[in-house]
Amino acid sequence: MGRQLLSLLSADPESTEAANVLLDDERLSALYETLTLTRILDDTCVRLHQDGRVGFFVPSLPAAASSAGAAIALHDGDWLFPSFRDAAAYLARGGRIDDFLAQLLGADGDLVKGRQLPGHGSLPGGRFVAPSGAAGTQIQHAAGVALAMQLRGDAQVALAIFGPSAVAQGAFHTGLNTAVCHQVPAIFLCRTLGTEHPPLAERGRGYGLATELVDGMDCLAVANTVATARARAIDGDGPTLIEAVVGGAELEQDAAGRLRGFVEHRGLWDAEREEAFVRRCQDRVLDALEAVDNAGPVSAGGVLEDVWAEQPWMLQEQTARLQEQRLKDDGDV
Amino acid sequence: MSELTMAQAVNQALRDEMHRDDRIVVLGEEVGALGGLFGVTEGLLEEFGDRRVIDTLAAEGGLVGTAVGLALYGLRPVAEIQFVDFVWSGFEQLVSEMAKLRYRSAGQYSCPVVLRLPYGAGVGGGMYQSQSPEAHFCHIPGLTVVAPADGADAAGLLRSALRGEDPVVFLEPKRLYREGRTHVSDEVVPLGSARLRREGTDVTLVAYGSTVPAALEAAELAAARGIQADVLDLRTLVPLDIAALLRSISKTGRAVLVSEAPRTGGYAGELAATLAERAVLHLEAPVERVTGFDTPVPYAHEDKYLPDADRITAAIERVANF
Repeated sequence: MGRQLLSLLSADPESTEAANVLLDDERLSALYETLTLTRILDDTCVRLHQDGRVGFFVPSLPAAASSAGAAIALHDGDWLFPSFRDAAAYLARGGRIDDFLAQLLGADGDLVKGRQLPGHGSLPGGRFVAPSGAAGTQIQHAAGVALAMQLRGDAQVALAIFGPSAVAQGAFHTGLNTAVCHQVPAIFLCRTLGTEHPPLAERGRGYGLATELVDGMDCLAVANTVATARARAIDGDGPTLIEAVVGGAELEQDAAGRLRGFVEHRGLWDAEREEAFVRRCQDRVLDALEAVDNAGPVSAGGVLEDVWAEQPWMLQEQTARLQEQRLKDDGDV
Repeated sequence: MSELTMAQAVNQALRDEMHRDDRIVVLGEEVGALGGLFGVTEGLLEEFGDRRVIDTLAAEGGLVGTAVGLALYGLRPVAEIQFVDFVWSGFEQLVSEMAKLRYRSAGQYSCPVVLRLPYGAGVGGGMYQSQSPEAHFCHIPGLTVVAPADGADAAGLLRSALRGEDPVVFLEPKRLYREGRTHVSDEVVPLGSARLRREGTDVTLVAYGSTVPAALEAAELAAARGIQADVLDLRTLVPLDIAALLRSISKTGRAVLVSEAPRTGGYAGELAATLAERAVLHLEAPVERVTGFDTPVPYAHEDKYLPDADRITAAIERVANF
């Protein structure tokens, strides 16, 4: 029994237009630019990986469309808990190319000081909360942050993005259960292959959640669904589980390319803008790589910091030992 | 200013701090109308309402993870788990998230959660409501671990925990909840400061939380036999008050370390290692540990499991007469 995925983008921009796209022109442009930049950055990262400069890299495709679509539909003040595949959301929420590459390559200036795996950067203020290596834990955090928003009366939402492996984890159960029980303004976006049993959307209904099923390769469908879920949550109507099915025939298709016809149809984009924007992105990536090379590897100076707000005596002592050791090593050279 | 049991003292400190800081929220299973399994949160729902006192589902992973979310957003959650023995299903959130978020985000995020955990044997709770798993917490960088032994310290340490910027594992020795009363003021007891509860010259007795009363009793028994013991109540396990420990050992040269947790890999072993590293030239005798056994807590025989004054006194005598 085939399930009907919500889809907006079609080869004919008029029929996409007729599907009631909720993003305004400014967000549409931002979405297209994010997807284009994600593709360029991804190409660079794959090359760096092939060159052996990055040991661990998870490409953004095929997650980019849902990642960017969901992030673009959020507002300032909303919180986003990403998976480790959400470089597009990182960029959509204001992450900078140079910070992304500094983190990827463990360069000095990395905002998370060389502590996290490549592609696991973080932005402050809830814009992009440091992803964990534990599967699905962020589902529960989004429920908790959304509960805090509700308790404080703040008209904001928390979004968690995760993949099918998280669904088997306890945090999926407790997170959804918590969110439904307190009717918090949370949105749970799960990328699936659409082949799981039972289908994810069915599980959502079992929890008593509003549940949506969308084409995860269609950035506009994801953005529309998240925007609608956001409006419901702000109105006090509780959390939503979105199943975004990725893969299928469009797996190799570039998410930006799929949106291109529509932004051109809206008059937001053209060949000239494309050329200029791509060149600017490429320049920024090259500049960032050069800056990373000049910066050198991330300093080990902070390796014993940020465990507690203030270093307790054990870490002060360990810091001193580490410094002694480094001075000794330097002396040996 | 009043004489309160430990349960009342924790309740009082929560109440005071909730008035002082409206970011503090209390959450847990049945902490609302029921007032918590041990009555520690009694009256808070009535006083602060259901936006400050929140009953949660019976799932500790969900509870700890929710507290992490609340704290990330800027609230100051105090999460009660009914027995520390139930914390295991919340361990993923505790180890991988609560303790690591500050480090992995390089300070962009922090988790000032106070996790209140009734612990220890002696109330006939059997092996699933009696454990002392403090060593597990002490082994996780990022957690501050506290174990008060009376109401005054519990209140003072809780005030500190609630005013700090980091997660605190607050171990409440449940068999002392209603044992004795102390004068509870608005004093703030700094985290990481031990308390010398009795002064002696011959042996240093180190205890914390639930074992402090037995240690004090043993010290009196030993005194009757001519051995004078310092009794150092650590109050905070991480960070350890290393200065207070070394001060006492350099005076007495002998140490008995008391803990009701299983012996192997326990916190008493950490103390012994610390003394071996830093105090070996002061030591006149081998360090002795008096601990629980390497078994679960046996329901009908917990009196044999727990280190009591007799076992501690015997150790004091062996160390003193070495």
